[in-house]
Amino acid sequence: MKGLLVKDFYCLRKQYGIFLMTIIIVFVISIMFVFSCKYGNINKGFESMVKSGMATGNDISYIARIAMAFCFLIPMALTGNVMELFVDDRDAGFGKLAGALPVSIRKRVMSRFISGMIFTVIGCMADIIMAAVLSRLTDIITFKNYFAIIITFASLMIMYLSFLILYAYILGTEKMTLVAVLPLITGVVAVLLVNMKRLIGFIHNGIFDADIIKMLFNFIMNKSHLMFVASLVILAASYLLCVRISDLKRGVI
Amino acid sequence: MSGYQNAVEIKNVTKDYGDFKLDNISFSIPEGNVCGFIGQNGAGKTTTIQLLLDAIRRDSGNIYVFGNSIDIDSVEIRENIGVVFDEMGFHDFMTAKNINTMMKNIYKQWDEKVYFDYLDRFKLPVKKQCGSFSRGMRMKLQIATALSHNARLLIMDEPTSGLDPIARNEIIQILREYAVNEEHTVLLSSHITTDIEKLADDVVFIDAGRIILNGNKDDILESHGILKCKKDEVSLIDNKFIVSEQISSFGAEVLVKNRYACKKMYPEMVIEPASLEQIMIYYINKENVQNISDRNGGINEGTAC
Repeated sequence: MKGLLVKDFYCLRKQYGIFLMTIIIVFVISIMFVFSCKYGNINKGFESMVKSGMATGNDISYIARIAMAFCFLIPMALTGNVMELFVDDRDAGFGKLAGALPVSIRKRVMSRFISGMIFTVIGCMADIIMAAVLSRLTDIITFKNYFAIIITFASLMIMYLSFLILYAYILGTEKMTLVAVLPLITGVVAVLLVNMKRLIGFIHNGIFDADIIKMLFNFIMNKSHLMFVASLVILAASYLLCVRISDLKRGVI
Repeated sequence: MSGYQNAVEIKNVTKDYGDFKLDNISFSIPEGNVCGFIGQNGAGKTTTIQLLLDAIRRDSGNIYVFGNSIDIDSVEIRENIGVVFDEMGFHDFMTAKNINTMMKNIYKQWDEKVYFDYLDRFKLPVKKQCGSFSRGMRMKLQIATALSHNARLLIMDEPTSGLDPIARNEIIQILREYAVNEEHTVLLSSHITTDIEKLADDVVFIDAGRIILNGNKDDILESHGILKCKKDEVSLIDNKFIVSEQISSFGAEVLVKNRYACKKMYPEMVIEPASLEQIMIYYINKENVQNISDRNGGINEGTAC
């Protein structure tokens, strides 16, 4: 299996450069954002919003936190690069060669999951370092809160990865565009189904429940570990399904 | 040493794709032999190889490699198999050095020294991306990879197709060297029968998913012959000798089996030795004629009903 990971590493070499650049850029932007919130234009903007009564201090704090949180999503979003592995293998005709190597199907699938997870893990570590630095520079958000956001995003990425690989095995490498979109559609459908009651309320009354953002934020801050556990369960289920599909479709993917 | 005699044994294997069926094929390759696996494109050679590697699922039958069923431990079996495909399978951006790093983490018995010696011998650049290699270089890179982990069985799927005569000859020479060791077995799949004639001990001839001919190459060549006669003389020949015939305005050429018995029966007729290529063409011709007559028979029966 190590050999396949080495091969995947070579496949993703270019992506690692982009990955590193992204982390650096996000880090710089986050620091600029923090300083602007403290001393710069963003700070002035927030002050005028509070003065004019457009928002309370709490609202401002939420907006700033959400903006910061999005910065943390970017490094981990590169998890989707695992798609490149499928495309590269397909273009090289590696599937045929892989069938002749002394590596079991189980290990072949495992190597694909590990290669995908590498981005999530590195992204997570980069985010934790960023959080440690930023939490010292600002009181918008504490390290504990940063950590909860990171865990939430990592969970989302693990879920995305699980569905991405699963769809790739189900649909095959010829339909990679569809494979890339389907996990997002699955996510949106899942969120809509869970929040069906609120959605129906919104459709009937035409009033959007403003508390939903605060509730979401509170959920992230206090219950991110639940999402993480759920993502691991989905990951394990996806792995087992992929092994089964790969065995059934031997010689196809 | 284990008690097996055949490096490969394929017994009643079937694989149905719907539009193509590998139909109940059986053959074996004794250890130390070079087996030429011949047949036209699409005959089922690659499918058989994929089944042998357990890379695709078979519908029925059994496959044994070195006496072990591939159902029990195909991974361990593949440790002892070197494979060369018609297409490289390595990513274009990989260098020969990258491939070494990858393979030494895959094969337990990977021998770096042997690998780099082969690269040196084949004059393959170590640090150049293999996407820029010529077809001959790609094939040599695959051979270097296949021979660097002490494989006892070498499977080659169309290794010489599309190569110039010099590169083909080089590859045949490498195979000869490998086959000298009595523990080394080779399954050489090709539709280029001249290569098989140069190398093989045994021949398995497959067509439309069925084994048409299987046996010792010299015996097959010895027993078949091309009988040349006038068109109207064909009807005089006993059907038991005839595989198939090709009739032109100049006369008739008939592939006969039991060449010597046939010669004895028709001493006035000229019977020349047949090449593997001629044998292959005439057998395929026979199959085609048979299929057409089967189809016509089917239609006639239908009409009668």
